Amino acid sequence: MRHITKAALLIAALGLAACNNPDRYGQGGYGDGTGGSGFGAGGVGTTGLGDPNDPKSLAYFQQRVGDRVLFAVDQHTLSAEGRTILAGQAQWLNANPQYAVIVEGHADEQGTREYNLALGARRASAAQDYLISQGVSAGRVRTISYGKERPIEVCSSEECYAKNRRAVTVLSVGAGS
Amino acid sequence: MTKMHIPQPLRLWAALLAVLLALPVLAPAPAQAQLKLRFTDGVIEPMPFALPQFVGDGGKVAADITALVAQDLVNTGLFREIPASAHISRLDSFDAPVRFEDWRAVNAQALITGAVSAQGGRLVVKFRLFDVFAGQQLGEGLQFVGTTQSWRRMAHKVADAVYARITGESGYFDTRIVFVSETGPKNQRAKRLAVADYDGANLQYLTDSRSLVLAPRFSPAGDRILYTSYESGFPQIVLMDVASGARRGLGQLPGEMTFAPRFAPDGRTVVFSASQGGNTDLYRLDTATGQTSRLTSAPSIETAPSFSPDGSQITFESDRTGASQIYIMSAAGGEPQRISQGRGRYGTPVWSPRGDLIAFTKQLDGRFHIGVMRTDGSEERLLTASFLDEGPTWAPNGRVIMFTRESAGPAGTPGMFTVDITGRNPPRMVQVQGGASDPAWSPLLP
Amino acid sequence: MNNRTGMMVSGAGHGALILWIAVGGVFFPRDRAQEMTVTQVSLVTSEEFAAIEAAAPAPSEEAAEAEPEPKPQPAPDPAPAPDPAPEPTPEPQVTPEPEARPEPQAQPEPPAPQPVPQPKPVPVPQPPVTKPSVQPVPDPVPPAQQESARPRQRPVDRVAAEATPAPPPEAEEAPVREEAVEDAPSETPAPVEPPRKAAAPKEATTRTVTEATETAKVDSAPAPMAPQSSARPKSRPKPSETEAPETASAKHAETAKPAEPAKPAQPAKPAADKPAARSEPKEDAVAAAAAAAAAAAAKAASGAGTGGAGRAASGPPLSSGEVDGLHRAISACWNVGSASTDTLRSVVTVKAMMKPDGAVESVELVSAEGPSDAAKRGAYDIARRTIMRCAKNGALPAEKYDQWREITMEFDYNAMRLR
Repeated sequence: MRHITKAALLIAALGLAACNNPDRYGQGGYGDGTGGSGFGAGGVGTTGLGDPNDPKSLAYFQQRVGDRVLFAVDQHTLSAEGRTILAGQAQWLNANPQYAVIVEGHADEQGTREYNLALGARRASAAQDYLISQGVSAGRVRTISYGKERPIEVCSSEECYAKNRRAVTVLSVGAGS
Repeated sequence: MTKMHIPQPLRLWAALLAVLLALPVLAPAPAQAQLKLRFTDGVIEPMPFALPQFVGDGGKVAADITALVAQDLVNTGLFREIPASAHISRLDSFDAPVRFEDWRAVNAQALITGAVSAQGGRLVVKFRLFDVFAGQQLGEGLQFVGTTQSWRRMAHKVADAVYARITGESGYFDTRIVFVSETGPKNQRAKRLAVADYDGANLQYLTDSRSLVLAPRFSPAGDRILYTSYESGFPQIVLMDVASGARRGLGQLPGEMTFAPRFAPDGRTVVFSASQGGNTDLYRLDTATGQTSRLTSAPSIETAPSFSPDGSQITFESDRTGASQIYIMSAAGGEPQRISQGRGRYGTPVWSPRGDLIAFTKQLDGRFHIGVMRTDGSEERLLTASFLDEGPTWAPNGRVIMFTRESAGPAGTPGMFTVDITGRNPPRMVQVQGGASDPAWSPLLP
Repeated sequence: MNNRTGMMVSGAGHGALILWIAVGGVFFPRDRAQEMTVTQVSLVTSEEFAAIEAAAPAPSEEAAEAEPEPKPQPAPDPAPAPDPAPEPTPEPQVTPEPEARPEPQAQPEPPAPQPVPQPKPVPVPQPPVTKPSVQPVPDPVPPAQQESARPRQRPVDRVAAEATPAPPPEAEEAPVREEAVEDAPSETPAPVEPPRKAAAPKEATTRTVTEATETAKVDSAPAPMAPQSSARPKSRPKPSETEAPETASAKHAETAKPAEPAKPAQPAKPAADKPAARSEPKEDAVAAAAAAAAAAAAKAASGAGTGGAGRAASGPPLSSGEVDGLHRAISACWNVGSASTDTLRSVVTVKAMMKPDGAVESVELVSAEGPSDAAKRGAYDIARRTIMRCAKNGALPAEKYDQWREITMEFDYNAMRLR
């Protein structure tokens, strides 16, 4: 998962991500997992992400603020911890207005494809609403659901499922700003 | 014209009356006593058939066709082939008289004879079907003419004809499936649309794997495909013309994602789900005019809609009462009626092409099932059970269901399986290269 | 797969593929639709079910011989006929209709050669596709051969069959009693099993065990599932289901010798074993077996009747044991494994014309009920096959031939549906 996110963030940082195409899983479907997403990500890696200690860096947002919130089985209500993370995200976004975000909703594999798409939409929307309630302008936040199509953990047990039931806030440059 | 001669009918009535009065008198005569038996208790086993290799100058293709006909029939679970090694009779000529006693001796109940001739890239395949114990031909013989490359289709057509004549319901062998071909590990799945024969042969890809594609569905005529694609960045319904490959987005509503599309029987109307602000409801769309109307507006999830074969109703899943259940409502919208009543969660209801049953996915106690129920929710029968079964699609004859089964764990891969709605035979995997999911069955090919 | 080159190759490949698809046509349209044609090889004058079926319930003059004429299908088909237009093929078509019509159709509708409407969705010009060629192939089967086994239409005297003298009073209740038997799984009539086993290979099942029920802990679901998981024993042959001219009588029982070895002796069941509603002949299985044995012995000994006054021609009445034997033999062969789901909602009554050696002369349809003509024909085909294949296994005594020259048999497929 780290690789995927890094690659995507990189691309975002380099301005390669099309603002109207939030599907960071697309375009490189074949190889993004190993960093070979077709853009030679390996070489540009860390510089794009920045130093996690730099509060303005993507790495900081991802690692220190936290880019994701988790959900209970079949639920889309935010936990207290989730709200804390989202509040941190909102704060960061308010301080870095050049970024827009796409909130991705995900589900674990226990459920039908269709239902999980709808469930992912609920989760993304829940996170989106909270960000907006914390002062992030609605125009900067979009949502997308991947249902159970993009798990980050692949084991078929609750320990993995818990990490897959998530809403991930992905930064992109420029959109909405 | 009938009213002219009144006495005539009267006389007939009188005669009839006389007969009726006489009956009770005649009947008790001991010598006339007739034995009458009533049967309610038989056996269920595959029907044994013999299929000697088709004769003629077809050579290898004759052997291939013969084997494929047998495979189609045997894979239904309804038939069992008597191995050629057990045959007493040899068939030298298509028109030679059939020695029924030889086939009875090996307990073949049906006999299929055939001939294949190949000339200049053309194949001629003919066959006859016999009821061995009745000692007579069943139906008329048929002849198929086609290209050499189409030999599989010709074999499927022979099998369809045999199946139809023996069972009384149409076959499903000369059909195609559209599905999602999957490669790569679970967390990096690459997906693309593919079509293949119902048995997985003749695989062809319709899209590349650059963007995620989900759940393709055939139009009623099989000439177009609806599916969900992430090509635009957001999940969106796409309509593809199979012949030309031309694609266009459908039902794009601002700020919404659309998915779970399915054609109405008219081939023009499409019903689908759209999520807006996290809430998913059902919509219908006229593909010709682009006019969209909303069918549900509840704060719950309404998705996976499927039309009844007459187009008058829609079945779908909704979690309005908690765990997802199956509902039916008018195709124009209106108050839905819940039909699933059991424990567990129900999803992806699909109306049988015969109209009498609804296939569904059910989650119960940590396992998934494919099942069928009547349209009022009664007679629920679970046909399968596994770690993850979902997404049923009906064979055009309404007898067989294909679905996706995915295995657990990091190495888990999806495959497509078929199961007979009697549930009598264990699910059988469709052999395709790589992983495969979300099949949709075409109608019988012309 | 993971490197750039792979991507490019793959991309190029897919691009080419899409192009090819665009140009080549993948599926129904275009050449596929035209690449094959179907023609009939020959018209066989075999039974035209629809004609018979239509005629049977109300005896009419119409001869079944009448060559198969295409019956207008009632087609109570709720299914969509998404493709209402007929075949694009310029030939008389048979089976393979393109219409996604799941409804079983009266299959071999003898297609009167008729101008067929134009192809419709098919994009058309099929290039080097082969032309349909029709070569009527003579039917190798001598017509006479078919004649014998084939159901003939004749006025069927159903009334006589019902008016059998002294039917056991409980005959009407047979179905009810069957339920009783099902509910008592412990009662598996031993004598029934061996013959069944013999006739029904291992594939045979008495009930449906789906994957879902097998893996079982799982379900639990609602009531409708219940029947599936409760084992259903074979019900024993029920003499009461048969309207024998006379049920086993005490007089036979008293003349009975100890059961012959040849005859599978039916062990007496403890009375408690049986449902209360058991019919009287059934209650005395020993008597029945003995009667059967006696009859067999009589047959072996003299071939003539028991010397009864006016009944020499037909011999003593058939015993319930004898009738049971036939019932068993036929039940064991009544295989609904290849029946359509609609056939499993059908009931057919046929009349078998028997030969003195117990073989079958012919089987004709008396009546049929079912959801469709195809379903009823399927039910009839199976019944006929069953009788022709196995009636001889339960051959009745030749000296009583007059009593079983004609046997009316009703097959109720409903009972087999949800096994």
